[in-house]
Amino acid sequence: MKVIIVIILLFAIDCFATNEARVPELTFVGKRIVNLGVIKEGNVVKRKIYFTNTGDSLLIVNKVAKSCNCTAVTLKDLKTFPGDTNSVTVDTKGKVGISVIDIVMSTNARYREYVAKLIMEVKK
Amino acid sequence: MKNRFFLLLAVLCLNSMACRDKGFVDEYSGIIHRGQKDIAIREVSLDTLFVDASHTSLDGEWHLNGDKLYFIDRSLVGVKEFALDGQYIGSHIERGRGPNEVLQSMLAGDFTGIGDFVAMDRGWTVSLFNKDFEKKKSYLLFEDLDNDAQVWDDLMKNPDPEEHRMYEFFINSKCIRFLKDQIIIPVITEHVDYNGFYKTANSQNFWLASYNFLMIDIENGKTGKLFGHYPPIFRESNMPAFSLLNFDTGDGYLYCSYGADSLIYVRDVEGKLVKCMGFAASSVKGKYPETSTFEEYSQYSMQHRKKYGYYKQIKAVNGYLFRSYKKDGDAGYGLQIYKGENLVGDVDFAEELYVIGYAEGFYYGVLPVDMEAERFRIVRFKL
Repeated sequence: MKVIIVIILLFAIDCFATNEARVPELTFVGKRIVNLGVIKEGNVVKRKIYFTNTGDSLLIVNKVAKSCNCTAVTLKDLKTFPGDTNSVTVDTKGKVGISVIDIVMSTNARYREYVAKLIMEVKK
Repeated sequence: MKNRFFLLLAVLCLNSMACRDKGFVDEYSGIIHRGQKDIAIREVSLDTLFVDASHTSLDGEWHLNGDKLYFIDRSLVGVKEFALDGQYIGSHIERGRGPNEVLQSMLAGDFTGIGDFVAMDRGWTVSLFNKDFEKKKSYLLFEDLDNDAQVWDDLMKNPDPEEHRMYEFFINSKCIRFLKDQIIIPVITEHVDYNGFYKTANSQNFWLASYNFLMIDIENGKTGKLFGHYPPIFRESNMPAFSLLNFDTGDGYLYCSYGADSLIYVRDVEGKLVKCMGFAASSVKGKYPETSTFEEYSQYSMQHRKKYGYYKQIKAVNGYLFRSYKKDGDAGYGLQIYKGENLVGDVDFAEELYVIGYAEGFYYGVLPVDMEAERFRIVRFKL
């Protein structure tokens, strides 16, 4: 009888135990807004932007979009395991003037889309 | 024979004069300037709210609707909702092909005053949402126009300002507004033979005959009328760097402001120019340099806009009209305050402040984003 009660209690605990879905989370390491300052026209500027998966399941970046065709963006890994750090490299040969380039990552994390910004002033 | 020759010549001359005058009516001719200058407000006391900009691109449009603040993000899909004290409430509209989703981030939007929200995205799709941000309908800009390749070819050879297909959404304006049952969209023609970058005979025609606005029927997306030409100041001097327009609607009128023009033009629900108002700010001398080619414009426009003051954003709210402006040089910014047609206030600010609305006794405005701390700065003040 006691064994049956214990089994029923264990079953009840299992049923009522919280079963929260595990979600990945993208957190930028350092600033997500990077000011590159003044750059001479024609100079290629490379910058890495780091982010960590601070969630508890696999983070997948399924798309990286940029707001300017003057920029090449390379994602190091499509997948980031919980606790790991990943990066996106921005390669830009800017046009003269002030540029603000948005790098938008579409992910499976809580907020879906995450954006980093590059600001620079290109002079002749 | 000689008489017939001269008669023929006379007829030909009369005919060419008629052709030149045919079809174009200068809407600015005879327009009356209204209002008085009676500046009593020289300063306002600002309360600043710092709003967390995490999970936004920091680039977008603020609106005040009812007792809520809304941020329409221009890089990320979505509209963020905040309480008047800056507390984050939630996010609306996601990316996708679902019933309440859009495919691209929104360039501009407006609340219709009857609970609906209308927005245009980067793919030029106009979407109408209800007060709960459920999508009611959407349509592609210019979808109902004939896209026959032959038409485009003809337009390349013979640009026609009356032809809708000459125009595209004026993206730099980043503004759409709702007026009665129409959406007002700023338009521009980028056709190299028909824009204002090159100072040629066609450029003059651009400033004279090209249209600034388009109406779209909010219910069915039907392309409506083109209306509104550049004001006369742009015929005097070729200055595309200061031609950016901004506009707002209020009390059944459309208020239009142009960078180089101290006047504010008021149009009715049909787009007809009914009056002008407005006065030059004392710190905006208005003597703008010309550029003659696109190359010159590219090279000098930024330094010109740093050196010269010009008018920026306009907002009609609660019987007042607010217009922000940049002063000449590094003197800062200002905010003109019009009550009805009269200039009643001119307030100096170190940074650009533009007004977004009125709620619970306060006027709300936006200062430039604090990029370092990644936060928005919303201000409120009383008059």
